[in-house]
Amino acid sequence: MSDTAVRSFKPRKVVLAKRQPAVQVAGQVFPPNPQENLVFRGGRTLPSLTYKIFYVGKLWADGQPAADRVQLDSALSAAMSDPALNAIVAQYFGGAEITTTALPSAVLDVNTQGDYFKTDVESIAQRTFMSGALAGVDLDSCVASFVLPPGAILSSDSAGFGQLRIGRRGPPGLPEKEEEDSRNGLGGYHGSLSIAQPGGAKKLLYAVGVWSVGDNGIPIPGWDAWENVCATFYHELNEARTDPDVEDAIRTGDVRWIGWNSPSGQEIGDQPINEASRDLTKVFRKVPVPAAPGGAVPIQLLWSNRVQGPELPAAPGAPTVAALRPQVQIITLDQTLASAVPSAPGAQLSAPSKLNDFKDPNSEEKWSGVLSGFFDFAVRGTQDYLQGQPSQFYNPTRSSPAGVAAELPIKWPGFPRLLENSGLPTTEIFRRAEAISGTMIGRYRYQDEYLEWFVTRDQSNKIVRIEFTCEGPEYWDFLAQNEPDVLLALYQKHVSPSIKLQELMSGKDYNPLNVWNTTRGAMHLIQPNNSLSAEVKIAGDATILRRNPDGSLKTDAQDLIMCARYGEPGRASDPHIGDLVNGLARDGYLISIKDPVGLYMNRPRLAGFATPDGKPVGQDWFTIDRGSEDFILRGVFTAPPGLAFVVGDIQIGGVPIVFGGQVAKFIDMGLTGVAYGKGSIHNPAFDCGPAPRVAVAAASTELALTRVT
Amino acid sequence: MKPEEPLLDLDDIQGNIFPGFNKDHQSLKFLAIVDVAKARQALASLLGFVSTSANVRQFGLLRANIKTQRGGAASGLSAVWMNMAFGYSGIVKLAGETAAKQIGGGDDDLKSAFEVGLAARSPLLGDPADPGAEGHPSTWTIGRPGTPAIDVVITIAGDQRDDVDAFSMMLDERISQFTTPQGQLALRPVIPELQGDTLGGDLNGHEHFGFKDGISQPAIRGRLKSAPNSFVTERILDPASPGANAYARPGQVLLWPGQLLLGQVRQNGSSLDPLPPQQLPADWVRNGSLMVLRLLEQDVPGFWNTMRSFAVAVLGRNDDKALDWIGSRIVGRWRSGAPIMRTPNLDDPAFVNDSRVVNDFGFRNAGTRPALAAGQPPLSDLPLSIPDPNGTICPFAGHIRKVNPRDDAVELGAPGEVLARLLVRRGVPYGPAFPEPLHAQPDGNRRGLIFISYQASIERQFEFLMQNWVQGNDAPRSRGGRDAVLGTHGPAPTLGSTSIRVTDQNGAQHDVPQIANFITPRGGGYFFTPSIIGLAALVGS
Repeated sequence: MSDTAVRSFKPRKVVLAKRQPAVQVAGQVFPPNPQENLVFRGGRTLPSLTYKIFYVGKLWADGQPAADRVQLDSALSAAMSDPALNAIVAQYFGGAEITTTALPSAVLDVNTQGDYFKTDVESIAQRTFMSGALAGVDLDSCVASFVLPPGAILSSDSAGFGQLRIGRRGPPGLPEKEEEDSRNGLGGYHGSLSIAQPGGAKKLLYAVGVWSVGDNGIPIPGWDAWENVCATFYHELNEARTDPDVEDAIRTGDVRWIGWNSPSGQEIGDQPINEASRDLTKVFRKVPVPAAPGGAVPIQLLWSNRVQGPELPAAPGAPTVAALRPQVQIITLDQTLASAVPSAPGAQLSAPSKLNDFKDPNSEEKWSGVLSGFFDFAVRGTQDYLQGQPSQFYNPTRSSPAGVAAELPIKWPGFPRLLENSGLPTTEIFRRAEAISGTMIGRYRYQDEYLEWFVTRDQSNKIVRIEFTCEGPEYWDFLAQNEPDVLLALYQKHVSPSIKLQELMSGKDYNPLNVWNTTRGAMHLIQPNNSLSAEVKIAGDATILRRNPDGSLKTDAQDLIMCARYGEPGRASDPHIGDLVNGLARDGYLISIKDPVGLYMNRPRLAGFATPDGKPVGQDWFTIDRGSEDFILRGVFTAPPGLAFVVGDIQIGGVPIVFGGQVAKFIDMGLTGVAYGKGSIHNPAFDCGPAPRVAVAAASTELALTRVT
Repeated sequence: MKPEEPLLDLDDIQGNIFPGFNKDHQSLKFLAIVDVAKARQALASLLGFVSTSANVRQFGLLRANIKTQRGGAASGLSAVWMNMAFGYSGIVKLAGETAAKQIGGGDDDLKSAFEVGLAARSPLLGDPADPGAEGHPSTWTIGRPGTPAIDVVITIAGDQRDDVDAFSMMLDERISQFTTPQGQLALRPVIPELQGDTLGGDLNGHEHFGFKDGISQPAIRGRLKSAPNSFVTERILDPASPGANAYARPGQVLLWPGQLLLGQVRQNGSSLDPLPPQQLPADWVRNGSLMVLRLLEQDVPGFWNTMRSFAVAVLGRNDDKALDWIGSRIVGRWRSGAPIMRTPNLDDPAFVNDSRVVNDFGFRNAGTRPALAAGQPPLSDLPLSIPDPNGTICPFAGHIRKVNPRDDAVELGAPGEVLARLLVRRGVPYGPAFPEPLHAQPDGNRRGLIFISYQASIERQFEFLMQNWVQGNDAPRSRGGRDAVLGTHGPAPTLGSTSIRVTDQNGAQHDVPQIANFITPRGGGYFFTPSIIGLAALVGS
């Protein structure tokens, strides 16, 4: 399962189905519950599974952690290859024999963290792959398994990569995406990520488990931590075996990626926990396995259709030889930063405009984690090309270059350029930009330069108020998930005091296209291209140097964006951000986005704005509602108190304001890039399009052809 | 496949729009329509004198032929040209309000710049907002609010001042024949005729600060309606070379004719495919162009005094060479017109004498030697432009980099967006020249530039350039500062101060505060220059 937790305290979707009359069958633990029998959905399964455990942090090399590691390796290897246990799983393979190969585990020499979000895990998986630790391994059937350091919290909360979830539900049988952490019953999860390798992008299957002890993970009374973890990985690896591509199913909403799961979306390891309810010892068992040191292994029972519930293994099979492996390989992972630039520790990223909206003391760190995910995603995008060479884009939460940064302010006009260049008559351009008619919301469709506005008119249709926002939607999704009270309070403060929380939500998900952020107001950006993650990704993508067929570097903004496809060429923002960032990359800088990461508007330039009495309109007409003078997130253009005029009375250069866009034309948008170490990186340039096949791929193709002939 | 260029009827287009009169002497008449019917008759009597694009183009070709035949000596040819344009009020009187609104791109909901006029738009352009300040519309000599509206502008241009004056008198005489029943002129001058003349001697073709002017002009795409196999603008690049479809000659960009002419296909960023023509209120509007007129007074002693202080700040000396060097950073060209991007530290007329060289440079990318069409004499081996992405050769606030960033990074996205902002300039200086501008002392005379530009959209072209680039601190380059020549500087409360970053010959950067204004607007207006068919419709309708 991906993001489907192994949990004890908050079992998900306990199905109180009517039980069948009790018929005792060998191996049966609970009365049969056929409604939860697993169903094959058509996806891939792995009869020959390979796995390799990576212990995160050098601490696993010595002392007690090393002893625990050896125990875990042996027990898990024995369990995963035990014929009696595998016979239960084999029913999902038509009864054919299934095999498991445990590759020698390794210790990752990498800085450890207190919290591991999904993006952190994916980053480690990516870097592990880049280290060559999986060289020669068939990634199609190998699950890279990561054991977190003791005390580390695991969270499956990734907030996605900027993709808003608009209350959309998957088809039946598709597991729901959940956010949990290991202090609330999450023991681990399995998933997959796409990594470039010779021959093109490759999927890496992975599993991760927390070191379950105390209030963290899934500790079983009387068990050692390594035993808890052994059971967790037994669960995860068997789920990876029977449903390896679940993350693709969640990503695409297509149930056909699923291998085996139950009608309620439970994988082979999930439903037994639900069945056990509060007494986990019913399914967390030490079962006899001859190959294991001591003759038994701690596992979690798996769902068996043949007993219509969790099944105990049959009598032990023949003993096999299991060797303890006291020696371990230690792999040092590449740092994100180029070694030519001295680095300093990473820093937590602020909320947009360094606002203090959060009430929960943990939210700041969590939000930083969300941003960190955006940066990781962008860095990983560069690695699709660079294949382990230093990326010129870095995640400031992981490490930052030491020294003084060169700052590059990047600004562009807030009025949508695509619309402006549409060739339509001027009035029509303004009208469309902000029209609201039925389900047609001009803002959603056209306002794509990271600045959006909402117009309020009086009874005579004169504009009285224009609200401008440039806040990324991810922050509001984050508030909905973590601080719903704050979410509501902010909506009530800035849009309408009458708003109720349920109006902002679609089920348990935040609905960014709620009525108060579409037809009745504007709280944050909604145009599909206007997101923080897009901002970060464009900056990251633009650090890849591009070349012309003659080998010369591409330098033209249009040429670059057409080549790299990091955005919409007709917008002002995308090509301009890419243009300037690529210029820094060509100069060999290490590049990121300055904290507070966000998109910010400038005050409108009001020279030429006048009231009907000929007086100039001052900045007291523009109020910063959210953010600071340097980082404006929300501004309201309306008459200062006590004035007889309204916005619609104002003339701009003699032309009365009849559309909000007339004011938007005087607002610039911007962000600030940071760059370190000019000339410190000399990366290769790439041809246009997706990441290229590298020489190794060409060689292996040639070899294959030779064989054929 | 590249799109076919449209057929242009050069007999239907007024000649100062394209290819431009390009004469040393000009006079402008500013007239009000007092009696519509009689004024129509008066204007109708002048139509035969209106110079078309075909006239001006053919004259130019003939003169070039004769010059070539004579080994570069003067052709001896002389001509006088005349064009006619109308203010919003004039169009309303002659064609009605609806047409007038639509010509400027406005409608009943939204007024256009053409409709509200230059004086109302003045603060948007960076002109003084304080009614007491010099340059505020209340101080203008042309188009001052409260004075009679200028309905008609007649431009007369010639190679000789006497010929221009004689032509002007002839027109006056014709106009004087049309009076109201009360004996008033039906077309009445509202202000005295404005005269502009080239500065004479070595300064011919230069503006008052001493810099050669009007060098960089875009070319328009299109084929002759009268000879569909010929382009309206000569193309001298090798048709097989990469730039051949973007440039008429090295550095001279090709724009779709809708950039200047209403009703023609329009520039669409850098795309080779044009946008369709905008909707016209009536057929007679096609091939017309919007004209901006600005009377820009220049403070020559003030300019060079400031250069003196800049030179001291940057170079530590203020001899004439230092002044020339710093002046060239401020403008982007040496006084001769030689571009500093190709000759950064020495004014060399060799870069000006060949029209295939003088505009052939970029700011961001290295120049490449253009491949020329067969029959073109070989280019001399002059150095190419040097990449300057960080503004170390030409400051981002340098005038020519501000108003035409060429290949630079721009806030609008792709550099192709620059193309959609370009306009053609047809200005001429007014007032007496200082023989040695570097050492000019205040003499009490008013002098400056009669700025004239043609464009299809005042808002998207002229006003955009002024508002966003000339007066913008952050556009096209963030923190670039305002245009070092045209920008409004100084401690105006609404503007704040800016500086220009100049890099000296040793690579040291100097941020020099911009505190002085060198330009004071003295008036002008927004006008519509109709086609020949349009003129006939206006005076006949």
